[in-house]
Amino acid sequence: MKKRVIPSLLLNSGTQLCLSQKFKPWRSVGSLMQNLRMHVNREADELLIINLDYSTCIPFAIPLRLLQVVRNECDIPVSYCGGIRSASDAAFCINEGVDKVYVTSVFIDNQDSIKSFVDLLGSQSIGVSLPYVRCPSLNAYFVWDYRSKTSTGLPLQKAIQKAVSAGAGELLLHNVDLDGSMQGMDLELLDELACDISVPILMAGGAGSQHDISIALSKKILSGVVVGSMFALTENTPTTVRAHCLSQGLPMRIV
Amino acid sequence: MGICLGMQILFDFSDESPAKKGLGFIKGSCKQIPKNSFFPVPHMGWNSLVFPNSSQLFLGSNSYDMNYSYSELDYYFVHSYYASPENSSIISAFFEHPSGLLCASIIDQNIIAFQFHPEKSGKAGYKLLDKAFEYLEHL
Repeated sequence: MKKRVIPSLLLNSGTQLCLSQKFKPWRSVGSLMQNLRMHVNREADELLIINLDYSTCIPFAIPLRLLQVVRNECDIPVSYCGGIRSASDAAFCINEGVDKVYVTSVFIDNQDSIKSFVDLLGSQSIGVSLPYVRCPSLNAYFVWDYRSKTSTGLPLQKAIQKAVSAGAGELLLHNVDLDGSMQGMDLELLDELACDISVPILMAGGAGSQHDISIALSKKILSGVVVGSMFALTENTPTTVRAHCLSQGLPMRIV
Repeated sequence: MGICLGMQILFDFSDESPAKKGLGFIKGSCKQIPKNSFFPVPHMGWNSLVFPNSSQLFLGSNSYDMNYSYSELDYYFVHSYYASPENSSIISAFFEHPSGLLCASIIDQNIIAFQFHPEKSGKAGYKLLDKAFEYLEHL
């Protein structure tokens, strides 16, 4: 299996993209269409679209036009997250051409709820994205709720077990404090995670250089990294990152 | 031509939905990929293929052993079950699993099927689809 480098696209107000810092929208970086084309041309391994507009508590109307744009522009795998509340929301997105959906809030509210998603669509199409914070005084990690901007009190390790046993096919661990910092990824967590998690694990938050990514991907447990700011603010592309990781002896896709 | 679930549905049945019948165009069934600490399931992401050297879809480079070769490029997989045809000679490509080679593609007369996604695999995928169409045209 090859390790993946996955650019993330943060949608804010329609088809505009932004970067985030500590899970707050920060700087605008152009339109969706332009960025999709760029990442497809740069041969990203996969794309992750995070729709902030739909991630509030407002009832969800699925952005059909947006999914059509994605389908027309991309011949690489695409995951979508933002505002998916039910198995039928997820099925709609899959039918409109995305390859995987990620959920967060439905999982935080009810950890068993994704079983119905998995029954309908299969594990391979359902990922759980877990924003988390480290509590230094307890030396423990907790899932963080982006709606209330507070820790949920649910230990991250327990959430991981729950998500896997409910049938999630992939987990994205997103360090809230490192988000947008470009100061390196959370290697401590990667060292602490049990190595027997049976599904692929992705990590987001903190990637700022090729080196940050190759160090994180050298951990056996990690299948891929999700990168936002670094691809918008530095000269790096998925190709340069893959070339660097290959030179470090990591299994990367050759294009 | 079948891709992903479109491949699995060509078989007689699948362990994923035990009570349901498949189309039965290809003899065999679909089984869950064995879990292994070196192989996360779902099998998700980019992986190389292993072609039998006699495969009509052969796009190989480094040799795997005497009769098989690794693909030059990688292809995108996303699945938890794999098809297992009764007649293993119709397998046109495999993927590597710690328990051995598992079926990734078949060619049986006018049927071609892929477990992975050539349409999502960039240039490598288009190359393979060209090869598949070339085969179908010369039937």
